[in-house]
Amino acid sequence: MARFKDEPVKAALTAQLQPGEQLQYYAFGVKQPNMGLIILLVCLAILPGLIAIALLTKEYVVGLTDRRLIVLRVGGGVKVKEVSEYSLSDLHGVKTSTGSLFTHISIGGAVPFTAKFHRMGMKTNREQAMAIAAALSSKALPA
Amino acid sequence: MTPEVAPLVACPFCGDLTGEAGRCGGCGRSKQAPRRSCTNCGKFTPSAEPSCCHCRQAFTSELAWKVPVIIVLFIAAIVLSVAVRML
Repeated sequence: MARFKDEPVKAALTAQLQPGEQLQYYAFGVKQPNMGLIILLVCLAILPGLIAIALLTKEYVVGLTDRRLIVLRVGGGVKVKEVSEYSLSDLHGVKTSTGSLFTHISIGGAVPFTAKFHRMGMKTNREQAMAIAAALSSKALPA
Repeated sequence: MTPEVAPLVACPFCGDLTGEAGRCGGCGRSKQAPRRSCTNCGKFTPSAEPSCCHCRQAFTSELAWKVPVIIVLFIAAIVLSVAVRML
């Protein structure tokens, strides 16, 4: 089941747009804690470990426009906690990959960003995340 | 042929329209800097600054409450399992 509906995500991203800027794709992703920490926490105690992982997981909504990649860190619905943006003309260290469940997007540079996008994150999360990954890969400068 | 004009971008922190595309002419902050929402006034402030640039509310790390909660959860789980073994 989808974590978010499209309308609140689009509304949150639209609020960040500059005059004349067009939102092209949007997707919902997460960044989980380090895999070693996940294994350690679950091995210590399963239920508290899973709760700890949920507490330490960051949720993101990303939007690709004709000018920028907008990254919103959200929590408690689509309540925006933090906003980062990456100009498409100045992208460094972009790495993307797509597996059977997740699309991974990583951006290097001064403000690094890494998240994975589950195919069930939103109604069309997989298509949108893959479109963002493809667009970022084509516009990225060498790391 | 007319030269392409950069769009006028308001500063996300002070709303000023002056300055360059990257830096605000009013407050001098980078317009592209990561920013976070203030829990007190709801306005955006640079993530790198320790307090809100509008209302001066100090920011605290989310881990400040999450780490103690996680520790308490694990202690409770250990105490519960020991208590169940002793019954």
